[in-house]
Amino acid sequence: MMWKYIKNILKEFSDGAFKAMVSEKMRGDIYELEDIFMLLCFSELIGIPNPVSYYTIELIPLVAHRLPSWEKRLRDYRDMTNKKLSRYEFCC
Amino acid sequence: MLERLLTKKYIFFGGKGGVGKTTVSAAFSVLFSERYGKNILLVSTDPAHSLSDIFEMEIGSGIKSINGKNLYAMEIDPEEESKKYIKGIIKKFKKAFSPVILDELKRQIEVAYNSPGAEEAAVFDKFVEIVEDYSKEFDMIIFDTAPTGHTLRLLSLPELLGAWIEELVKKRKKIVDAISMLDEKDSQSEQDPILEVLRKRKHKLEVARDILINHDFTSFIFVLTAEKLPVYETQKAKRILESYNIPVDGVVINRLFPKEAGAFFGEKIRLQNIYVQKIKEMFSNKFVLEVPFLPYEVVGFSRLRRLVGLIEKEG
Repeated sequence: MMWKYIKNILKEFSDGAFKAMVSEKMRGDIYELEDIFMLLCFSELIGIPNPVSYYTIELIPLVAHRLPSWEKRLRDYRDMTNKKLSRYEFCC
Repeated sequence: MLERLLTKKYIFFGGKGGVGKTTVSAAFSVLFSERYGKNILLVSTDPAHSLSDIFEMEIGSGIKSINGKNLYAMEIDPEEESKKYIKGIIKKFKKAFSPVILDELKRQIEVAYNSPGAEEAAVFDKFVEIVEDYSKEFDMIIFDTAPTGHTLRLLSLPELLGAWIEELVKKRKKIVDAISMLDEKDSQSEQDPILEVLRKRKHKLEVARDILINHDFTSFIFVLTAEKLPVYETQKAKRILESYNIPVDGVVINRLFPKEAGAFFGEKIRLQNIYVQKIKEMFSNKFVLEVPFLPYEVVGFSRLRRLVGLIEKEG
């Protein structure tokens, strides 16, 4: 009983201290990967020639929810650097 | 030489603008369908079509019978094809989106649709579709291609785009794997809709590439006239096609002035002979077919048949 209690506390502690941190970082990484993927697919939308843009049209409906914010992020590059720095929590 | 071509399934006629690609491909289609009784589909991939003019009948983007028997033709319309493609995408997702998102989508699609390369991609897609749909029905599909630049781009698409799409697949796979790791779910990479679309596209490109580089089925024939510009362009184009492993099997030298052309053409014939020699060196172990300059325009069936007679004699 006691053991279980202590184990639970330990688990919660580790989840809070490490796992949340790690998964937060992973989420950030995935977000960034997805932005890069979008760039490889739809660079034509921001004026960079892309040989496969005709074929990635069929992906547009699948990523439609992300497109407007992605375009905005790319256009406002300063915002992107700030965001990157803020992940390390030493920036305002 | 004709026997060698008869074993092929897909024959492409290409070359510089105005050298007679359409005439030669039409003549070969008539030859194979009428003299050898083969079921022939003649396809024009040139956005500026002239098959209709040569057969003196309206052909258009659907399959049309030319002689009422075994010769059919069609002209690929890139604009129509890309419209169909876009409509298909919008229709597929119409139900899933609000009108606001749909408007946004239409804007995005508009940009991509007008990007360079869209037209070639549309023609290319139709080419793959034709090959998939009609290969069983016809003994041979003959392609009357657009002038060299266009066609080189078209034929190099699988190689170029294949690599790009492959990279997209890899990148997407990484994302999907990371997500499934984060959510501690079993690998869901096989169900990701984006990955699915990309893989389907990659497969299509691979099918097309396999056909284009298959030396048993496919043959690329250059058409040219014995003049400096077409000869040099053909030389470059031949090198490029061969670097993509596309089998170049021969050349048709069109509009050769006969010796009896007269004094006025003396110098012309001297130059012509030099170029013919050069062409023969370029295509040393391939077939070279010489077609004379004709005193009439090759338009309409009866005149095409006269040209066919000449080709048969030469080949």
